[in-house]
Amino acid sequence: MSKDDETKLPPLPEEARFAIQAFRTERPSTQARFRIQAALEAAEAGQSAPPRPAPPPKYAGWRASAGLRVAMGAVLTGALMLGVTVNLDGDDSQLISHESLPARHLSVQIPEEGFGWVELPWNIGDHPEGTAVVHMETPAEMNFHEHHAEHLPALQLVSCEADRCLHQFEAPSGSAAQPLRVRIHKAGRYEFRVSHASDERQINERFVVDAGH
Amino acid sequence: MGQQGARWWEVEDGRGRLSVSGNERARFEAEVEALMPRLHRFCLTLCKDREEAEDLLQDSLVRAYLHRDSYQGHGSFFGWLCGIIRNQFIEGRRSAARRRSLLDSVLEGASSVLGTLFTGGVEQPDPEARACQSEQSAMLLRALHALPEKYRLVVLLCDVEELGYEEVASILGVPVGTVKSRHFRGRAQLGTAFQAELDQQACAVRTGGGS
Repeated sequence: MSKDDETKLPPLPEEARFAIQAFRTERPSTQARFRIQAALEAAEAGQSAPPRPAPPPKYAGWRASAGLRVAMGAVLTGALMLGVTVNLDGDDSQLISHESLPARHLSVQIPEEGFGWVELPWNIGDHPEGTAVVHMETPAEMNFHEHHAEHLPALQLVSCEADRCLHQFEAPSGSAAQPLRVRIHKAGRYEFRVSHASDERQINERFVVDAGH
Repeated sequence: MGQQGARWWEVEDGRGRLSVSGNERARFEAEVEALMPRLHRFCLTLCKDREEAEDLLQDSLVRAYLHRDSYQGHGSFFGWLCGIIRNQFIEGRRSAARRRSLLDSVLEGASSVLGTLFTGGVEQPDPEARACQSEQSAMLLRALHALPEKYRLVVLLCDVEELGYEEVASILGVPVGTVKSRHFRGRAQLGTAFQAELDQQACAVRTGGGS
């Protein structure tokens, strides 16, 4: 853009010019830089990106608030579905912790005919010993509830809308945790959203799987 | 990007220069490093808060790294990365729209009943207000977000990043004439939106409120 072009443009308020200068100082946070580096390292190694660390205090307030709502929603929903009684007395702020992990990308090779399995490196082992209630959203075309009933005995199809289906099941947590195995029949890009909750914490995760032959 | 095609390059390790051979990732990171602030601002201008912008930047850089061979040197590396960020952003929005009615509705539907119980009944501040390091930056970002995206990105690239019309046209994949007209209209809209922000701030000060 030349100076001649500048003179033909509508002028900006002086304050806006100062604001533009201030905006030019914006940088990604140190945490974000570390995450990017870790994600690139994981991509180089053909692995999923590592989980994101806890947010800095500056942003923790609003995230924790939104997260707490979602967490309580998940706990209540799970409780209602399972007929579990939740004790809401006591210190609510310590009832459950909430974490949303960044998306992780995986690549998998599947055979031309038949199907392949991919293990989603979820963090269900971070919950205390016992079981966690899992909600998992998958592409509808996968027929997840049909193909996974064998190794996820309590699996239920909650609902489907458009090309996405929501499922619920229970899974062992803590040291008994197992990787989440997903069966893939054809090449493509698949997105999975998983929310698992125990009495102490709730974790949201997203996985993007690129399947090729 | 002056080392394209080289099979080795040098990096600073704090003790001197090291030759690194065959490390594609280190090379990619070195190329991206200088562009990181501009890419971050590009993401901030697309997204509504810092967290989403940083997620977008991370996902986009991973995608760029995985598909780095597709950059053929036509146009700037920055422009190529901006294209990936835009595509990733559009794809993310589509995915988000598709999945809102499922997992989110289940989780948020129940949480709306209990929400105020666990936040003391007080809504938390808009995260957009915390997206920037200074109030001036935040005001500019709010004003930019008042513009339609097609004007917003042109104003960002021309006025904040001070790129030439030809490069902006290349990045956005539109003719130079379109960039010029969008810049003119976008600049006018930004002036109006920013003035509205100033007026709102002045009003808040007069009434004793805060932003």
